[in-house]
Amino acid sequence: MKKEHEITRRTFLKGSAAAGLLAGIGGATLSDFSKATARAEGETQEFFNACPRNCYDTCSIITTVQDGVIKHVRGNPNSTYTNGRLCVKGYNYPRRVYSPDRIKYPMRQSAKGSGQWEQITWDEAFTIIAEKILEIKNKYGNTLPICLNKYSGNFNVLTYGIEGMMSSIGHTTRCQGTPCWPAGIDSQNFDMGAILNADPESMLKSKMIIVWGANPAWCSVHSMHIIQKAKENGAKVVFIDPIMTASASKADQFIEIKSSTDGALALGMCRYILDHKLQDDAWMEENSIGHEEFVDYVKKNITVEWASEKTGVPVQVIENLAYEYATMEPASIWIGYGMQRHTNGGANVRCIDALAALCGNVGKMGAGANYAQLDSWLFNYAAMTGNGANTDNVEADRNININNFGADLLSLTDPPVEMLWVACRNPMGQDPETGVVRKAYESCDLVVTVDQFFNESCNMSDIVLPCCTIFETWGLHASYWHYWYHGNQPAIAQMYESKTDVEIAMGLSEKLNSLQAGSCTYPTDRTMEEWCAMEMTDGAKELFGFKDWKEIFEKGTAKVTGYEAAWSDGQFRTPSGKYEFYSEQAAAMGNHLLPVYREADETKTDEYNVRLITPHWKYGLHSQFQNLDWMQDIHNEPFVEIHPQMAKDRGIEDGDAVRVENEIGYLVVKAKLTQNVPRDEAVIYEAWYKDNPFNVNYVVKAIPADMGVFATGQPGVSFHDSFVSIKKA
Amino acid sequence: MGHTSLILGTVFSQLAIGTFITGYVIDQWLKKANEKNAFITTCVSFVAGCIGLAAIITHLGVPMHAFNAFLNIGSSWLSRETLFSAIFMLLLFVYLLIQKGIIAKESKSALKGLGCVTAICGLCLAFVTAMIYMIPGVPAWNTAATPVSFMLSAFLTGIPLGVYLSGYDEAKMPALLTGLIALCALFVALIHVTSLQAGASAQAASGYLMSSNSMFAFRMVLLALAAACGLYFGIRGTKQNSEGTETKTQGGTIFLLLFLVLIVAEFLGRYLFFGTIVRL
Amino acid sequence: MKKGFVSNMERCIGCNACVIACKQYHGLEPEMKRRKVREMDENIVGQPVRAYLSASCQHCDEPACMKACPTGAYSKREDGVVLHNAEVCIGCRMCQWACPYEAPTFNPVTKKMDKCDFCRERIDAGEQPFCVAGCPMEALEMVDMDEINESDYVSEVKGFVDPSITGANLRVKLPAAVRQVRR
Repeated sequence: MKKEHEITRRTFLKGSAAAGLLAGIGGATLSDFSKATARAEGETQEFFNACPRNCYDTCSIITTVQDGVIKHVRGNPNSTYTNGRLCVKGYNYPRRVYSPDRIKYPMRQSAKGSGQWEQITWDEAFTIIAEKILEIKNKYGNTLPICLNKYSGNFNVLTYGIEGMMSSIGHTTRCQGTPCWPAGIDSQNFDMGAILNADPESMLKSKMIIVWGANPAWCSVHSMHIIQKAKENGAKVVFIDPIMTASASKADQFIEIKSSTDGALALGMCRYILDHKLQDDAWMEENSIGHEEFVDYVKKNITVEWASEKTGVPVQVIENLAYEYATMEPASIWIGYGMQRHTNGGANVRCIDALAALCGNVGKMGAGANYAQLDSWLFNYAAMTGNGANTDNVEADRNININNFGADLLSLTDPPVEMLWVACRNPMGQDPETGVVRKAYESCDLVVTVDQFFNESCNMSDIVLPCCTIFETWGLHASYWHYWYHGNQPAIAQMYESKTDVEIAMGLSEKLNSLQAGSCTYPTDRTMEEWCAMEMTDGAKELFGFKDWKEIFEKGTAKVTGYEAAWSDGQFRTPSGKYEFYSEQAAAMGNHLLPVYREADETKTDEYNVRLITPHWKYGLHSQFQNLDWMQDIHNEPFVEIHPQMAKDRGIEDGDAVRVENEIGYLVVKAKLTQNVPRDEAVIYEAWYKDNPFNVNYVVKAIPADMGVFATGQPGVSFHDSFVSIKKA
Repeated sequence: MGHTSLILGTVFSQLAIGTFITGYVIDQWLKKANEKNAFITTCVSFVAGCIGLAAIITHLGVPMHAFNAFLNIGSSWLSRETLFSAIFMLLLFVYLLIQKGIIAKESKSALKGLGCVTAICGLCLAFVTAMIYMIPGVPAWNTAATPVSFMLSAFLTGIPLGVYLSGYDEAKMPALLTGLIALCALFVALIHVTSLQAGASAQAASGYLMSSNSMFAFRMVLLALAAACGLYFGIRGTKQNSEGTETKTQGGTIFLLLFLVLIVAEFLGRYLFFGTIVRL
Repeated sequence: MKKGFVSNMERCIGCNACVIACKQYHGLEPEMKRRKVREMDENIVGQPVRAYLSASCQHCDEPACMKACPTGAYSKREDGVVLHNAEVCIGCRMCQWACPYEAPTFNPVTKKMDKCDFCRERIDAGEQPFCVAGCPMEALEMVDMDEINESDYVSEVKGFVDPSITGANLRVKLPAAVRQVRR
């Protein structure tokens, strides 16, 4: 009898990622119901929904529905973080739900990539899939040839039903790890024992805010608002970034740093602070181990001049910054995920953590080295229930690196992967080295993708299954940044033939068992409401003062309190219980014991010598939203941002077609000349444009980051360490 | 944005005005047209006007509600254009009927007076049409060149067609007039473009868009050709016998050719007008 | 009482949330926009930054649309709000041409024009226009032009239409300069 899968924060992180969504709608255009606008009579209702995207802000939404049709959405004012306002992506939801491009029913493609699709019934789909699963089981004696690639396209807790579905069949191959943030997670685990940021609303109390390698204007607009407010109240706001982003444009001070050298800046600041005795010895004595070794390291190896040379930041600026950081209390640092997407990303985060700890800025209100948190994820993960049929001849799931998915999958031979299930993810669109991922897809007999729009991954699938939007089902949601916990209720009926991921799991289970009794243990008889009811932990109910989980729908949201100043209790979750400058766990994973400067690996070549940074795009969340026609109306073509100097050197003018190339592929995109990017680096924002084959990943390599294995099972991706050549096309 | 309908509409409208006035003057003042030709000239003018009107109505989002366009004559030039269009076409139609003797047979003498009113109405129409485009939002339009070139357009296309259709056989004056007007139009276009290029960014952008378009050069060539031709025949006359005395003109063909060259030039000009919009 | 907008470029991040918030609230067709966000010259405050200006209809003192419309479809309320009456509109687009900001937008389904109406039903009920209420940076405000302190704002913005042409009721706060350390 297998042990019930134990959920800890670590296993959660090691497990695959969030769910996707799918649904299909017919030709309902806005004009069909535009007559029923605010002026019309008719029953108007309001519902609470939550944006289930992988986003810091995870908004609570109030949806206005009239005659069963969504009229508009707005932010829920009951959450002081959402503050009654959404972002440009969120306001697109009514169009997303009713988009004419939504997948409406199960589809089968005659051959991957052929574009020859036919509609099939759910029964036919389940039959094809179930038969394949059973065929695999019979041939191999286990279901390891079935691979799940799932991440965070949908973070509704119920999407963990996808993992549950897989576990209910038997042992499978899982894409382990996370592309986003693992290097930094490891760092913070080594230093503090867990990722735990202070409530971002506490930034209002900060006297100084350093945003280090993050672009909240585009990725966390509600925090941008908080920062702006703090600034207007007198806080000094500093942005450190290679790019003069829309966020940095609002700073008091913008410091352009050479990509991947952030650790050097932090250490240089530490040196200055030590030289001027601005460190907090008392705090370190009481709350940390290894501070003496760290101080010794800095004094022997680091100078401000060295830091200046490494980072390109003038000595005077480093000194001023260090002085202000150490003396303006409280001072908060926001460590961005973009910053750690380098081969030395994890090491850099350790250095910044150390800077904060050196000044005793961990645990104080309005301070902190803030990165992320998962403490507010108070869920039972009931949907993830999986107690696989006991007919396996293996002991455990097989893990491959989600960040090297294509190559890893192709390398498996014992047994090889024959079936791929993709949900809450678009690997063909989002994974680096698109060519390799494509080969991986082609090597699988059956690729099933659950999604909402016909993106690149769907195009390479055999079967596509439509899933619902968040407005059509139940859910509970938490953020990895703020501390609000949201409830999500169905605002409208499920559209077309769409199903939720859990409904798909139940349907597949039923089909499997009808073909071979006992071949799947996933429950088949619960409603989504019943599933959702099982998710709120008793701890959460107690914290919120609820007797019934449904009370969350009184306000749509509830706050997880107690985190205004993270680590204020000094109870670090490290082996020593203290902040660990000196971390044996770090060393055990092959890193230095101390937060030392680690040079980024040299990935530049003579021919491909321009660093390509590929940040998140403002009009989309990876391959979601930019493809909607409303969004395309605002902006509809990809471009590369290059400095006028770089352009001049290459005879490129604004608007010219530019060829961006390296060993693994090339792109041709329009050039946009701007002084807001470094002179020696190019920037292309990653996004999926409607009817456009553009994909920046043709030139992005799957270079592993230095950390990530400890907490998430796999190293991260150094997205921003790819180098290219830039030429006029 | 449906510029084609406006190009067609305005050029044909101005053609109608110019042709009518020319035909009217030749018939009622110079008494040099026979009944049949005079009528044909008015007919063609009327048909041109109808085409112009139809083209403009198709540009509307809701053509069936076109009558609403009369409602803001107090401030809207477009409203005034609608009014003058209607009145001009109505007067033209009545003139046509009287000319043919279908109505008011006894009042044929009234044609002179009616024609005068119609002519004035037509001139007002051309002017008012131009005023529609005098909007600050489009600097390239917001100059004197707009009303001047719209008015010139009426005569540039109308005089040669009117002369040709009327069968007017004393070519020198109208040829000279046409040549001078073509020369004027040429200068207006060149001055307009150069002054635009010297202006602020939106103006300059329009100016360069215009001058870099090969159609602009082509139009200048056509206008120059027409100017040269018109002036040549205007000074020399169209035919001389071996004794060097003036004989009956064979201006018909020349005016037809002039018309064809100039209608193309005007279509090009209007195409450039709408095609090089650069907003503030 | 004269209604106008304040567009605070110091807070505005050019995200277009206002544009889409309005679009979804009013059920506009995909090609229609009552509000536009313009990317401004990056040197607008000296050193380069990313700067944006959000503007819809300026509810001008001398609305060019009202003057140019042949059907008299435009009217100006006592509180300054300029309204478009779709009933008489013939979709000639004259207003869109005449407006220096091209604020009126063509509805391809009704074939008539459409324009920001200051969310008149909302403001008449004491609420904020949806763009103002929806902006995540709180960068837009509805103000009474007679009550604001003009010295807090500018009306002219480099690269934007001269407001004196139509007496635009938009006031702008320019972005703040950023102390920059560039490599």
